[in-house]
Amino acid sequence: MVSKNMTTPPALILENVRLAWQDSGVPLLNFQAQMGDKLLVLGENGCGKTTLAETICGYLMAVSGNLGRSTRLGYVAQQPKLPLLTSVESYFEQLVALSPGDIVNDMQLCMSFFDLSQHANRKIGDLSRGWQQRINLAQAWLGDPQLIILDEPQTALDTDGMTSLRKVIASSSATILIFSPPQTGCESLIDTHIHYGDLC
Amino acid sequence: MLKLSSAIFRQLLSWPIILCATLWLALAYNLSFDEHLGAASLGAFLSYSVLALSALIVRFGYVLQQRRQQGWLRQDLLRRTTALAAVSESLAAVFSLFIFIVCSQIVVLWLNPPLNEQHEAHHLVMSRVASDSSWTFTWDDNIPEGSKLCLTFDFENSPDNVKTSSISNSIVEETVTPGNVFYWPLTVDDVRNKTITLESPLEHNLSLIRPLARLVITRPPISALPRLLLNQLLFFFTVIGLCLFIFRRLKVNGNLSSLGALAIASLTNLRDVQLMPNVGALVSSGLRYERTALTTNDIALFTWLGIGLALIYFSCKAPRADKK
Repeated sequence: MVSKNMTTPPALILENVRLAWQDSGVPLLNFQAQMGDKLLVLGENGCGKTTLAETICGYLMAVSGNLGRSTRLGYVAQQPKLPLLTSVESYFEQLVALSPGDIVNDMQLCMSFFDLSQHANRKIGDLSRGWQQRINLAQAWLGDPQLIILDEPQTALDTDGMTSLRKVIASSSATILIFSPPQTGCESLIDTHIHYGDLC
Repeated sequence: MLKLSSAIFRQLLSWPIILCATLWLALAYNLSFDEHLGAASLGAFLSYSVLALSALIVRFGYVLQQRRQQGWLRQDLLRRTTALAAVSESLAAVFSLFIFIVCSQIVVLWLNPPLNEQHEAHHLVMSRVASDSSWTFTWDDNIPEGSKLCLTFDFENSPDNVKTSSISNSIVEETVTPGNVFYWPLTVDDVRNKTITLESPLEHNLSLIRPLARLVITRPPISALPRLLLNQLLFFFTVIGLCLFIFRRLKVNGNLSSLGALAIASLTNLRDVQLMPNVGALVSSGLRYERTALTTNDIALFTWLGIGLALIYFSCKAPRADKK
């Protein structure tokens, strides 16, 4: 009998990856995440969590090694760049237009995950930092991604927002990787925790 | 993609921009055709139109930069590696230019302003004496077919009883009366070569009054306005492609990209060095417009549009990842 791991390719695979900033003495990254895995990667400030997240997304280039990942990807950036003069609904409509396939219904669903429907017609710049973070989170689920990278998703979220995020993560079938420093509240989102150093 | 285009279009033509464009159009019409202020020439109106379109290109660069700061380039990379956003952006830019051009046409054709009543325009032409009895005339621009030379001759030492003489280009010979204005029609070859040499085959000591030598060019009628404005759109299509290419592939600031694209496109007007297809006549305006309007070569035009399409195509490819 063929095991699941052999038939389904991993959602993320890092083989001897050296990140752009790394010195030659730093151990190379070797890591594999299977479909549906949910992991919290903890690491101190400056250890390279965001660089790794951006390298996985393709924003940065790995210096060496192999990096493979699912094609449909969602990403929550640590410092989101949102169109502040655009309304919430218009922002999501543009994201739908950018995404391949028919995901119009997906849009309302993603907005409802974080109670964004009530602010659909408001400009993003008029919303508080916490609500902007909810928009940043909701867009990551747009287009039914297979792999979702969340870089410090707890930033500016209140208890209600954290509860919504926990529910969404629990109900999602995607592979989810959260990067965060220790003891920021992210530990309550996912049960499986690993240290950044364990990726080497 | 159309949704994305319409979103970018709304960003490009926001209400303040629409208001500015409307005021500019009103000002342009008055300054061009007002009986006291204006030159009553389509060329004047076209020069204001080119300025407005250039301003829209600069606005396009600004919007591109805004979108980069808002993270849209990252969304392109994340969501669709073929980056159709670039096509949407170029569609939105072309459409905004098209809207302005259509409005310009409607305003001018509807109000039907009085144009200069003279059917033909007279422009200075460079003339030099090739020998004692021949003269060479040259001009820099492509001029329309059917143009003529307007010349006035004189007898330096008039032979007795001779009141007329003749002028020839070694193929055709025409009778000329010294003191009277004489028109020499230019052939297609003359127009293409941008030069013609005329000689006096008879020894009549004929002399040309060089300061009075002129090129006579038929003014485009007002019905040519749609074509003239369309030419401007065709010119700026490639400028849009250039701007997108500089912005996306060379990763230059959006504002600088638009200015750079306009600067590069202005190289089409260089006469001595042929760096770009000779399509400067597409945006001919002011006084020069009468000489050069509607004279763009088809091959140059299609080369120019091909460059624009290629630039948009290469802009559509997903941007490469950066090294930190």
